[in-house]
Amino acid sequence: MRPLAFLVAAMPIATAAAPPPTGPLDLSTRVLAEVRERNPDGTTRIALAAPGRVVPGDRVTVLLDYRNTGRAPIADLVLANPLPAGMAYRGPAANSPMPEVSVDGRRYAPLAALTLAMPGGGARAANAGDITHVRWRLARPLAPGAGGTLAFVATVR
Amino acid sequence: MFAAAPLAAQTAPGTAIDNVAEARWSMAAEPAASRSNRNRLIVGERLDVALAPDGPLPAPSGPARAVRFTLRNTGTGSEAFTLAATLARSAAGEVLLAADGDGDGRYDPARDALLPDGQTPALATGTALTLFALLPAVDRDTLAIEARALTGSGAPGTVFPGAGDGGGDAVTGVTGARAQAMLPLESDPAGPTLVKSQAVRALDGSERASAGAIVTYTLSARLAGTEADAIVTDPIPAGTRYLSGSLTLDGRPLSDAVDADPGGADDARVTVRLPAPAGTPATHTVQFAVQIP
Repeated sequence: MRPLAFLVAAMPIATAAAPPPTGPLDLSTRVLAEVRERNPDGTTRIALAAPGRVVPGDRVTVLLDYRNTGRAPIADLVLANPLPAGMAYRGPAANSPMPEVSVDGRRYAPLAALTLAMPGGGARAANAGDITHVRWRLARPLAPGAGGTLAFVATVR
Repeated sequence: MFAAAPLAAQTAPGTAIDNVAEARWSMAAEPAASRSNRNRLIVGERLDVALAPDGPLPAPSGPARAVRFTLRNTGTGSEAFTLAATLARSAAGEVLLAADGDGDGRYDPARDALLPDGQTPALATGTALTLFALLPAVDRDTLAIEARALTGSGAPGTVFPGAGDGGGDAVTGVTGARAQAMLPLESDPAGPTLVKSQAVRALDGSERASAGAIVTYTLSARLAGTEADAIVTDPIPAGTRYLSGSLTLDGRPLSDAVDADPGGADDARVTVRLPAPAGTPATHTVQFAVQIP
């Protein structure tokens, strides 16, 4: 008798596992890649899709989906995303508000107001590649059932 | 044999990029915090290669001569390359290829070994290898050298599943993991020659041929002195956009329009009329830039 053979499906490269239970705030992240799609008239357009693969230089969009699944409003909500080591921040995604940025995870400001200490003393103006954290502060309490999506664009280092 | 790597550090193939978002808030005046799921991307290997003539062509003094050129692994992984060298017209014999084993830039049969089957050793990302094409005695001819990544080559974006370093996929970059150099060979070294080279400058300051990068082409034309109406034309490479206002002749800007100055450029090609030489050899340099959209 032949032994029973198991077919094991290849592990997907991009995984978006279900978020752990987080209480009243449901927060999940997705990372999508820009892919060129050809229109019927021969022009091309940029679409976002779960990337089968990325290589250095590729542009990706990082999305934060949030929703209040509780029964009370959530006040003073701050949504943040530390930049993974392999990603460089480029800017807010289309239709997303501009995040505050930080080069150390402590002080947040518009990029033009940030500086970086130089080894051996002094400081220089920070550039987009120096950003280590982005965050958005919601101005109003998030009502029960309400939610949204915030997003920024990064490149693979 | 291997030059230092000038490329900015790029994420190594096989690296996992994990993204986790964070939240904090207040509820009933009590602070609270949570984290999102973890989203994982595996970085694939980008396959790219550059090939350039290196130094002046040697005079055709002996029965055979060595043409020096440089191959650079501009991809992100460790990669070997397969080379082929052919002569367009001559049936004078085979072109052999050798690596500059002792790194002195001169071909020495005792120390610079032939490449078996035209295949280089694996080169780390960003490193260059000096090579020689060993020519039979030829008259006027054109030497064509082609390099392809051993993992695979093809139109930019071609995927070789699971073939990248670290177990991820390998994907061809903007070069298609294929590079070609054409070198005119003259029995009369005083004849006109045209040598083309390129330099890449990305938005982040690296030499990465990524979206937004500027590629500057340099065409170096040597005239013997007797030519009339020498015109250099070069098509704009497919998949790039001419950077308007970037055309220069011997360092002086030329307008893009076809007008009183000796050059013009559009989305299809650049065309420059070289100054008429005054009976003596002269070298002129044409430069223009394109952007990778």
